[in-house]
Amino acid sequence: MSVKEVANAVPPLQKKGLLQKFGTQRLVAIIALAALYVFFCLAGDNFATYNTFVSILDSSYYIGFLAIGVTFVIITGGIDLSCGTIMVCCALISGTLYTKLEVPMWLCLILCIVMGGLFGFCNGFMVAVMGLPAFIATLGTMMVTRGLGSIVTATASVTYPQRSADDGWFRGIFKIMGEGLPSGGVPTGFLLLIVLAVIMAFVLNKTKPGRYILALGSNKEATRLSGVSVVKWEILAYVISGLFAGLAAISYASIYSTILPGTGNGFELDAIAGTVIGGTSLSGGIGSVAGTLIGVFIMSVLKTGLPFVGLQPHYQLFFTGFVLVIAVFADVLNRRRQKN
Amino acid sequence: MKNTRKIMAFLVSGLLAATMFAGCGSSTTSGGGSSSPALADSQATDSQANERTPSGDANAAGDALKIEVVSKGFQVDFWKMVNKGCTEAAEANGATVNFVGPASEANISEQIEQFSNAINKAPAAICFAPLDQDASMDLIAQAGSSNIPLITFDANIEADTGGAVLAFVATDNVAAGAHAADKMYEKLKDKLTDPATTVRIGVMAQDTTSKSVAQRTKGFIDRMVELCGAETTSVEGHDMYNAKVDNAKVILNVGIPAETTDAAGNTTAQTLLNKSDIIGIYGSNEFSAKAIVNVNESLQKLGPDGVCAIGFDSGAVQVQAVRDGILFGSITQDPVQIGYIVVDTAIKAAHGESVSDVSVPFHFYDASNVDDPQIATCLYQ
Repeated sequence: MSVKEVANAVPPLQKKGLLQKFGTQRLVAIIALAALYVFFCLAGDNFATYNTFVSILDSSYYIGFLAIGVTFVIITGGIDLSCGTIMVCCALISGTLYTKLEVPMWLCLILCIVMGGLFGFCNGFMVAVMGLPAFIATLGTMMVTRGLGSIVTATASVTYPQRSADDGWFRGIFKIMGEGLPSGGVPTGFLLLIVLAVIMAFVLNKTKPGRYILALGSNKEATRLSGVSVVKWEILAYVISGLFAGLAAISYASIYSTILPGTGNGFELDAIAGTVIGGTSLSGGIGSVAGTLIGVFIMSVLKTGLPFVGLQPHYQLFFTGFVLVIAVFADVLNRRRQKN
Repeated sequence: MKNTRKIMAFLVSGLLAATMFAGCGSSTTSGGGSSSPALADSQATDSQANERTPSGDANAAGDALKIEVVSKGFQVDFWKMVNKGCTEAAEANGATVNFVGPASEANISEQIEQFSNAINKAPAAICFAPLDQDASMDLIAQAGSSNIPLITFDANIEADTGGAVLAFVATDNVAAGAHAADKMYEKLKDKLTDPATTVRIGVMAQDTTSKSVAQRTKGFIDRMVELCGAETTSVEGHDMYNAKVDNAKVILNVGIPAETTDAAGNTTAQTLLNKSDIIGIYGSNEFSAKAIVNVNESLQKLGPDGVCAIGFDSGAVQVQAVRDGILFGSITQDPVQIGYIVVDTAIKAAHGESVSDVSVPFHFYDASNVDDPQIATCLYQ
């Protein structure tokens, strides 16, 4: 029996029953997103405008990228608490390289992503090779990267060049502003987010690494016994998370310009919440990139829309908490039904 | 099932797109006159202390003008008093104010999102206290091209905004910091003139990013260096302010916490106060002053015969410390006045009148005048 056949044979027993339920949850997420958006258009004052749409996108890029990366980790049954602080650390280090060491911007951006991948590799190594629980390993990385950012910058903040500056071209990757364009700008980052989501969805569902990651999340022991190197693929999931954290750093710098050391933890919870709301199960083996994006957009629409109906942003946290609990409960119900 | 999902996804995206385009067609700027008034010359004009006069009547049509105020949040009580002033000005002019701010002064991204929301609501005018200039530039340009009058307060935008920012309302933070230095020098003159051994003055700043804090800190440092003599005064402790001088007799030791939390603030204050040669300490805002007072509880170094401490702003802890003589005194801004003037200016701008920068006066208070009516209205608990 070839390894591929075995790997495919492992999940199907569970897959058949779950596919239906999994589909339902994602369906519910899509409907919820649409319903929320329509609600705010009707109830809010001036919500249904192009500029507001761009604002929603602006605030979802970095969470979106973090969430896509963390989806892979959660599918393996692990968790990545460090993605938020890795993002800030990479942004700080690459920003410092640019401002203090005059490294060219394109190189800084590439290094940002590479550094993210390296931190991800450390996470993966600790979990897959050293056998640490993912929670602890990534908690450690979270603290290390949080402190590292402050050390490298000596607690000073790092500011990326403005749009009008020579090296401000990188902002165009996420939003183009200028004469003749709408005042809110053109959200090119949306295109990037969708393209990457499509690519990663393809990687997850149609390529060997993706299928092995799904398999090992579903049943690690069975996958290992069938000859698949679970160590390699588990590390890959964390590296993907790290790479996307690096990319999220670039999007964050594009939209917000200034990065403060000591910040960043909290973002990973937003990313994880988005992932889970979108249908990825925390027990591993099931996940979808599209679902993750929908979950992230639900949170962004809430965050942007609530002020339009007169509620302050802290209500967004309140409501997101409820949404999260309901989404996970739906997942728990699915599994219970599947067991019986 | 898979096909149903795909169809649903397409339907929903179509619905979203349709709503968006429908919205595009009907978006109009709500609120009163939003033509861009000419940018007046930037001149600091002192307003009458505690005199609050409204600038105009409510919009004749009966629709209240909507003013969005994006502050630095509610981490210190200062902003609650600014809110009070904003509300008073709005009521006096028949307008409504929506006052928002991030959970902490380190949450730049949160404030940017709030600013973005404020712009998207197309109000009559926006008042904005930027946490970070660079993060705000894109949105300031957007406000400008949307013809929404924009007034900044507390922290200035120094870069060229192309006329988008119409006026700046704040305390002259540099002068306020310098005044604190004057007061401390008055008290410590004997110890600072030709000391036998080196003496140290602690300077605590909340962070490295807030411009208002930076101005008050720099104002203090520059004036103190001037008063003590530049050749014998060394500034150390943080790259942002360092100006090391060898064999200095007076050391200005800067301390800035790694993060804007009480715990980190206390650690920084403690490090400064623990120095054996410390004779004075300055905290450039409520957060720093509070930290200094808090760590003094266990160190017991401050007082009329001990270390001379000067704070900034107020708040329950600081005011009590001034009353008890633990703090030699503090500089207070007039937050209610700041809030009142900024909304008043915004309403003027919304009506199309030309507006200019306003410098709101500050005051030094100590145990002797803390209860004077003029000072008392500036303080907040």
